[in-house]
Amino acid sequence: MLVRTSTEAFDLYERIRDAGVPARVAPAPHGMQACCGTSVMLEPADVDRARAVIDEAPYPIERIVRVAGAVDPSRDKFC
Amino acid sequence: MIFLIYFDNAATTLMKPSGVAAAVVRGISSFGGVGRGVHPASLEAGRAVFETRRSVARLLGAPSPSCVSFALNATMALNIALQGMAVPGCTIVTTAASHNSVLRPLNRLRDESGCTVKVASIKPDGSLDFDEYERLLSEGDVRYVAATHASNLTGDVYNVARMAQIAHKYGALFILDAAQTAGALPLSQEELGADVVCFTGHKSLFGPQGTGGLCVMPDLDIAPLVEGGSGTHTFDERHPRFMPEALEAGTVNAHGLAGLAAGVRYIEEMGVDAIHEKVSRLTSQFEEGVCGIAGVSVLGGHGGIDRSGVVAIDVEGVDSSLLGDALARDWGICTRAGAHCAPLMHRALGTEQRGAVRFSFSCFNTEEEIAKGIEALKESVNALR
Repeated sequence: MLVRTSTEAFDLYERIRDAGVPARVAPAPHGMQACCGTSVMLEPADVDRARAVIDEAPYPIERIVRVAGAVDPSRDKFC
Repeated sequence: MIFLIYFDNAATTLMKPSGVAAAVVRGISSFGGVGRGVHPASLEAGRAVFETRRSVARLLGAPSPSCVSFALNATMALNIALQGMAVPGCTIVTTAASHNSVLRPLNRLRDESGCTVKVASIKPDGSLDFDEYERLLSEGDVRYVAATHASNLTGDVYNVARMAQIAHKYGALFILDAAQTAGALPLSQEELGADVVCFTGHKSLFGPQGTGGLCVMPDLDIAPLVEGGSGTHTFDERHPRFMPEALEAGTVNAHGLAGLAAGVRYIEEMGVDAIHEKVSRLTSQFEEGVCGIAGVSVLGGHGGIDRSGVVAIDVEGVDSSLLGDALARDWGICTRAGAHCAPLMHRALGTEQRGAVRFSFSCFNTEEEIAKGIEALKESVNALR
């Protein structure tokens, strides 16, 4: 999920996490230059569970893109 | 041996909650660049800065963390707002209680951008002339009002909710200088109706020097004072205008901001009301103690709707610098003598020539220290007169 600023990325991450949906802050894919460089990553299967949080976020979600094989749970220890 | 008694908290608080230094040390040992990369060290810094935004927004009643942009101090935050919200030739209203951090940027806008700057008077008792304030706004086409929440000289707290209401009635935006009140008094940006609240971290928020910022209401677009690295939108030719990073070109002081978050946490745990109540008690104790000293008069302090922890005194026939120096040299008491970057206020109170000695208190001061301060002032004044 691509947002405009890293502040929004951290905010969105916490909203999704608080809703009980696993997620992490991650680099935005380099091709997505329109966003802030920071994104929130979650499993595709969990997007619908996070839909209410996404819809209620007080800022626009720029895009939701699918990235193959990018989730590495071991990196979550700092998130 | 002389122990230091610190009564210069309106400049910078010296006694900080212990968590502040610990947070800074932890940050220096673990932070990468904020918003520059998304590796673990960068995320650690990013999360800390986000937590600071969130806690400042909560304490100051800003709508969301995204409304909080960080700067080096209130002066920088005010410059961002004052310059970024002005347009060439516009009219701006301020008050004589303003600090030079407001007056000098406005004077520059007057001299270099053709802006008209109107100043509402402060009466001899320290209160704002509301009739004149409204008249200045009613003359029309005022872009914004820039006003201090509390005088850094007298401690008078102004009715800024009423000021903002009047400003909005005439179509002007309202910028609040909360350098003296953020963390010291209950303050809610949304309830006050302030479009922008500028704050510093190193006074009553108990953060390190080099921290501060501004809370900007959503949808208010402020032109950045500084443009450059944002860590994002690299191929855009101009600095991104998304808050809060729009006003934060370059890497922010994440180490300091981690300390600021610890300061805010302390305030939230103690409660702003409890802190204000204690400081008010110390302030009253001091004022009552010094009022009877021959030649000493207290400047203002009762001209507002409340008072911050400041007592400024004028001693008949004594230069303030001599008194301030005697207190420091003989008693280890730290005060601020001089003009306090408040030229119009000193002019209004008639202390332009000899200045004043400002005693300013924090919740870390004690009744014993106040009693010592009264004794020291009595002895020093007697010696100098």
